[in-house]
Amino acid sequence: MGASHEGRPDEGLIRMVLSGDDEAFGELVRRHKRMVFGIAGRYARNASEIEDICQEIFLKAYRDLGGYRREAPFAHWLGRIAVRTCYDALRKRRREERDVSFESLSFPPSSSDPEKDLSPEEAREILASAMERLAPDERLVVTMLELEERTVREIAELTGWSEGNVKVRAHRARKALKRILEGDDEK
Amino acid sequence: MKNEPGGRLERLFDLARRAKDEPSPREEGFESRVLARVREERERKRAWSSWAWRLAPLLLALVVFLGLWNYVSYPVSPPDLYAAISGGGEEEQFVHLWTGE
Repeated sequence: MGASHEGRPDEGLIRMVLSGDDEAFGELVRRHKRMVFGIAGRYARNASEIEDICQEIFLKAYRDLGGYRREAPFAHWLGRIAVRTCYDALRKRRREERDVSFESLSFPPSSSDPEKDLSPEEAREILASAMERLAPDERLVVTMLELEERTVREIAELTGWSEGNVKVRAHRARKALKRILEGDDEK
Repeated sequence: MKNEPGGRLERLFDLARRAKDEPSPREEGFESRVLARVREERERKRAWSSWAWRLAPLLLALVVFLGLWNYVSYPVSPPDLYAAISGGGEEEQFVHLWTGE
């Protein structure tokens, strides 16, 4: 990306993109890709899916850039697009794989005290496997609330759902996750 | 606590939060790939709109041709349907009156 873009604030770059400067958009992507990859990485199953979701997020941002109103920082606006795109990806995946059997999901070998020697990465893997069984909205809410430690208000802003709705979904998600971890889900 | 699913869930969340987000190898050169897609999309749009403009005169000519063809094929307007129906009815009534049927 051009050196002339590096020091500019996001708003300046957006103006340049809107007047036809693609390289300015490249600079915006370079600045915010870490955040976007971080969000997509919590929902995608592999590197290629992360890449697809992230490209979709930035393409949507490019198409809608004219609608960005500068009321909030660009990163917030982009975060909202990212969350909604991840939600759409989860729903699409759910439609494609309606019958994911619980047995097909990989869990580390269990012991009498399953969490005793777990590393954070293993714990994340177990949760990701269990969350594959949640409805897309439940997974989205519980990920943002418990793993990203966002507030209910933030989640409501990002998703466009009401705060009450977010709470209900979070409650349902936790209940379902408990059931999955208990192993009673197949009954 | 260990065996309670709620406690277990909390412990899993607690551990998972400590997992580090490693940068994905896909981040390397990502902006170039996004820009390539942006340009590709723009090219596709441009190709569509240029085709639409090229087709416009052809469509206009087709409309004019159909209009002319319609005019040449049916120069006289067809008889009024209401008049045909009511005319037929009057004639029938006239026959009824004179024949007494």
